[in-house]
Amino acid sequence: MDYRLLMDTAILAGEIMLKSGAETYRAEDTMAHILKVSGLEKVETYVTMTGIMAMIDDASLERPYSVINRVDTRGTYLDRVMKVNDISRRYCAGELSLEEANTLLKKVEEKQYSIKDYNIAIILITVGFAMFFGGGMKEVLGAGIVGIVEAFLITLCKRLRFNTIIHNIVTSAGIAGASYLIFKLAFLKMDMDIVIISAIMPLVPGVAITNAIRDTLQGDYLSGSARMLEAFVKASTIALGIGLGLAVCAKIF
Amino acid sequence: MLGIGTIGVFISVFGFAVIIETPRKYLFQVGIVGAIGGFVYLISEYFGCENVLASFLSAFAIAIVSHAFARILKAPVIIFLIAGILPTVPGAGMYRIVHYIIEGNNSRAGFYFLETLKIAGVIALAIFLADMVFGLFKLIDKSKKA
Repeated sequence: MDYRLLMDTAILAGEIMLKSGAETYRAEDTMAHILKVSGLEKVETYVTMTGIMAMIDDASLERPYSVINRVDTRGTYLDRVMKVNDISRRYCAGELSLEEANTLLKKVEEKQYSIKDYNIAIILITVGFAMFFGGGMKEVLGAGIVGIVEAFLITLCKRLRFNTIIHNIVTSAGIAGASYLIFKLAFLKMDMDIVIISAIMPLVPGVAITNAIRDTLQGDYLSGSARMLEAFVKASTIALGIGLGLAVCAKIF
Repeated sequence: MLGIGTIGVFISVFGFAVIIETPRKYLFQVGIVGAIGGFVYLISEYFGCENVLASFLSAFAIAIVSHAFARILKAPVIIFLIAGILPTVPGAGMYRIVHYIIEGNNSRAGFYFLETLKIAGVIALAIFLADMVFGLFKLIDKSKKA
């Protein structure tokens, strides 16, 4: 068996999972399942929020073989988690060869939705939440307009490849500015709090909190607390941006 | 009021599902999961539950429905759970904590900190309970086959 390819495949599967926002224990499990197909004596995998480690050892090997891989970027792509899950299950069931699994894994990172779909989704979220939080016509309409501004800013920040912190500050400052302008110029009786809270929902770290809970319940306290910290940093940047936007607008207008 | 809120949750969870790249064929079902959770939340608030209890009930409903959909449609639970539970998760609470800290209003910051912590805790409990219920089902299935 080609151990290098086996290791590459397992690491690739773990890396895609971690980058796509799967829980860390799921990435560990998947890698361990792939490695155990080889029938080696000792298989260890260790995954944290920022890196992957895997080790295999057997009497037939000259020395233990281990790989460390650092992971910098994280997003949420549930379809990739699902595809990797599927590929690893088929490989473990013997339906796929190692080479096939490897080539399939390399093809997983394809975009499913266009930028247009993505922007419409952002507007849907802001409008939907304004309805959920008990907003009337004015709030829903205001949230829709702010959602359009937000979708534009998010797309712009992605084009310019800003990092997450700057991205969140710029976008939420834009949200605050837009809500303030709508409040002052058009709808004087609008509840601005509802509009702002609805508009920040696409940015708010809901997935990070959910995964923090799931990782902690699984006994992975290291990843659980790291994700909680991630959530707090994101929330801070959003609050900072909103504060900045409101303060600047209140000075100007 | 209830109806509008539930439709709103459906719309926003549908949007969330697109943003976190849920496979296209499950978008509608994810929206349904979210709408059920939102409906449970709103109706328990309507009957006078405070929002921690309402969050627990809604998270439990979402977790149970997610497990059921995952079994029926043969897809991982997280596909339905992560997007469906987003309206319940205290993301806005986290924002409020930092907002009031910056503003210097420590008592309100403390209030939202406690509330966020409680809601996160009951969501964890709800997910855990639902996992346990469906774990029991699996055990019963296995013992029937054996």
